[in-house]
Amino acid sequence: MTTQTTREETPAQPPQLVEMSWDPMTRIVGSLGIYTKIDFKQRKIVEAYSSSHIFRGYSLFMQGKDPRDAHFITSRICGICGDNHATCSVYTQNMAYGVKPPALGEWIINLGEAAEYMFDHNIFQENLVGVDFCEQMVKETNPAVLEKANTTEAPHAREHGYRTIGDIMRSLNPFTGEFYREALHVSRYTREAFCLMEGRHVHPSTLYPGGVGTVATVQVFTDYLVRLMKYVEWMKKVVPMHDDLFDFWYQALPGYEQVGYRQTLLGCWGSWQDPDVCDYDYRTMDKWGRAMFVTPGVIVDGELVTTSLVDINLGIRILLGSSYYEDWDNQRMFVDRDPLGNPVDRRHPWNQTTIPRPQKRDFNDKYSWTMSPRWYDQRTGKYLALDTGGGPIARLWSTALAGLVNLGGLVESTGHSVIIRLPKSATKPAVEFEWKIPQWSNAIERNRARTYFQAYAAAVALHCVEKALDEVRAGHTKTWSDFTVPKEAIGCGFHEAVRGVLSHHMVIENGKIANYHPYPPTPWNGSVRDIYGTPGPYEDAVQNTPIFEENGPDSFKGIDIMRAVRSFDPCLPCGVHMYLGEGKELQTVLSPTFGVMP
Amino acid sequence: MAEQQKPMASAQPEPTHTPATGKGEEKKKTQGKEAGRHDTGGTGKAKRPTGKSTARQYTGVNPKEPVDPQSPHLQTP
Amino acid sequence: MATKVEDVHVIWIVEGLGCEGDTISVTAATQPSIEDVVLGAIPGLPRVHIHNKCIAFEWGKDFMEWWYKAERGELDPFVLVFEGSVPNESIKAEGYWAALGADPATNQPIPVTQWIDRLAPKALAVIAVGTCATYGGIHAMQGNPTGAMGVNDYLGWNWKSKAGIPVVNVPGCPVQPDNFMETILYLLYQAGGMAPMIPLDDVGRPTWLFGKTVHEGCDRAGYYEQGDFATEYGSPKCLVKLGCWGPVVNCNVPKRGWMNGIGGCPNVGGICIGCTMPGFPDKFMPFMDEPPGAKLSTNVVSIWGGALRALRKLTNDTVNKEPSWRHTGRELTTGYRPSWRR
Repeated sequence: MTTQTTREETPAQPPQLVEMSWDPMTRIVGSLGIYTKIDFKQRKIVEAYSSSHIFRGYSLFMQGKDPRDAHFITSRICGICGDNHATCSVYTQNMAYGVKPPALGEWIINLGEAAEYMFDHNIFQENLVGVDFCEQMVKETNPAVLEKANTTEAPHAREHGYRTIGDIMRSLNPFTGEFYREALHVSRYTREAFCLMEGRHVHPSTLYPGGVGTVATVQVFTDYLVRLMKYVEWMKKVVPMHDDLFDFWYQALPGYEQVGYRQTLLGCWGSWQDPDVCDYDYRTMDKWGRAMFVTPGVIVDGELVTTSLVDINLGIRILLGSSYYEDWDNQRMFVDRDPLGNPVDRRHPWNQTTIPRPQKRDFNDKYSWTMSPRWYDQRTGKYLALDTGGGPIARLWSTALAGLVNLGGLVESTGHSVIIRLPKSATKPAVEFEWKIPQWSNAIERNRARTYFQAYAAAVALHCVEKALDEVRAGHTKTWSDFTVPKEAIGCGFHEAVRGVLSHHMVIENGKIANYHPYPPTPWNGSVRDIYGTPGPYEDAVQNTPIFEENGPDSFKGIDIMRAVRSFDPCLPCGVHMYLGEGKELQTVLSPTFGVMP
Repeated sequence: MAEQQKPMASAQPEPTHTPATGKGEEKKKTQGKEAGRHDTGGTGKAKRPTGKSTARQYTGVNPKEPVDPQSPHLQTP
Repeated sequence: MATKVEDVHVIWIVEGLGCEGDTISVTAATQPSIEDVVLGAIPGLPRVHIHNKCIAFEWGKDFMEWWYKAERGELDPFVLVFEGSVPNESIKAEGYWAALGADPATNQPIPVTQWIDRLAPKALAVIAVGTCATYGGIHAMQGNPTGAMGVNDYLGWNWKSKAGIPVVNVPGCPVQPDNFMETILYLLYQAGGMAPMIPLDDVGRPTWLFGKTVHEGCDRAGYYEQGDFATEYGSPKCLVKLGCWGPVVNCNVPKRGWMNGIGGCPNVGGICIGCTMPGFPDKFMPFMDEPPGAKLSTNVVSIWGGALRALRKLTNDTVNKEPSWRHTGRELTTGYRPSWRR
């Protein structure tokens, strides 16, 4: 495992290659810098590297702590999706302690996560990503496109109220755009819905291993439902509006499919437990994994390779190669076999020991604190650099192909698409949306999927509210089950953070945390070149992205690169939560910015 | 033979908490079921526990049950 | 209402060792909302320009230009907001734990501690938002590698801005949305000459927000007083035996809710883990354990509590019955002596 393939020498650069960097990236969560080499003559990004500048050290300071504190602590990994971590951590603890929450408790957690998806996707899409498509931005980067937009009628104007595509773009302008402001308002009532279930946002107060502390009153679910129906109404405008905007983009800029394009290599670890099936026992994990309301799966070139959480678990490998760490091949193994008797690899998170070796940054050798999570494909022996596409695209794709999900018709998988049915709301009739598997895994389709998934989450929430109210009307009030923490145990949790795959792996020894490794989506998406030379998804997707921006090198903003990277919804606190240093030397050197290569 | 991992964190410089106090998740065992709550078995294929309450859960002053025994017991916030 | 200043810039450094939860939390504020402030919906305020990486229009060099303008004195007056723990960059020979932007001369990343050094002396005021920035918080937990600390630990607890204002600490993990907005609103009024020196306690917290304990504002305190305690999570009763530190924590969340009056912590079933306090998190861990003082005090209260409830039951029984003179029939027994012939 320690042999390194020697990377080929970078070929001599043609004279028109310009190095450009964007540091910091804005309108994302976390610290990310993008470093590129651009060929302005060919109008292509030739090389791309992603780098992050913040280190905190969760896996270090969690060692030796009480395992019951794990979800409180890991929630603080992320300031927008912390509750996803807290939820995944309680899934992990439930497994380790052998405890099952009452069904009512599970519905409350499900509703909390649905509210989180509805909130987070909305604020990211409309207030952060949306600015990349707003009139102000397009005027500065592609004035010809704006002219065209002003004279193009929006096909679904009747549903969303914007007559032209230009009107849509104006409404996305930060602060002055009416849609931008309404979206901020939506981001608040969706968080209120979250608070009704889990107390406070982003770090929940009522989540515990074994269930929740929320008092399950009729009021709490009615208050949630009232806000949910506002969101259902909102979706009937938002989905067609984004379809019009994204379809226009392909028409106005033929070839835009290539922006952020990447081979379809997607991972999804599943969302929402069905309390009728899930018992948090590893030995039955395949069964309850397939009962989740988003089906877990690995997709390679359009083929669904597996929907088994056990296979998914055993296939996770943490590779090194371009990261500032020493290998752990002669450190102890924590877990030899999983509870089903399957052997667990040394490079699996249960067995990972992180040994940092901070050093100068060299884009030809080691250049980041992000490691290289990969999924080992048994069929081919390859280590796949899976991405999540920002979350929604992988979730919908996996659910569509698996053909398993059907929640009373509210959401339904057809084998090639996902149907979402939203009921009548205050001023709009019932609607049916269908998300069809797209031709490309690219920036526009990742963004489109995000909008559709907002509607999906709303539909799932409708199902969960009904189930929760059934419990309440049956007189059930218990929302938490008691347990005793064992002296020795292992646990794992599989969940979908807003941005995609999230796993937590924990080893308890002598009643304390001996090893804890969370793997959120960003280490996967933002991973770097591994020992086999495979680049990480951001790098992959940005490289070979064509340039459509009308500005020349002197006033170049890099908007197409921004759109490509933001389509992944980067969330860097998750990317670097676990990178730690022990006071050793840490030197990095940035490539020169805005310089022309000799 | 795998090397023993050196402990990563140094010994705690100050006590973080008094371990002699009870654990929240075991209070029911040590202090008994609280007044007004009782368990009612498991549901579903996964045998998830259920539990119900009486009015004593919300008040220690004159708990009053609904007069009609058919009425469900609904929680107050 | 005229203000002394027309424009105030807010330079918001998100890049401490943090999760950016405070910025996200502030987008949830409604009293006032961030757009209310930016669009000038509050009378008497100067024009406010917020420079925060999460919502900024620009990126890269264009975004960082605001930092350089502030350093050059071209953005006077500006308020510096710092989010995330301040790392200890001197515990090693080279490199950085947290950096923002790159030095144009050397192309090295600029540690955020350097930005504090460069900008704090020029700022009208410094606000530390969230417990990481105020007191170190989660990343300053025992066993951490970065030596994380709060802004006051870094600048000194006696530090004052050029306008004589100490570091304003608005703790919370994350900060409660309206707590932050109310604080910055106060400072903006103060900057405009319309409010006196912001009242802060000895650890820099606005006294009107943090002057009360969680328990004093919790709507479950009545159960405590009556010796009625929860022994399982999900109960509506007092959670002190299950790990709630409310009686000794300074925070107003149970009183005002988490956002728009909704949610909170112990008032809705979440044990208080002391996240606004300098001792957080170490002095409260393991969170689900009963706090040491609680055992004694709950035992004492329980002795009296049962008796108290029984006495209250008697009185409740009495006041749940109408007075005896409300009835039908020929007799008037209200105590009034009729002046007419029966």
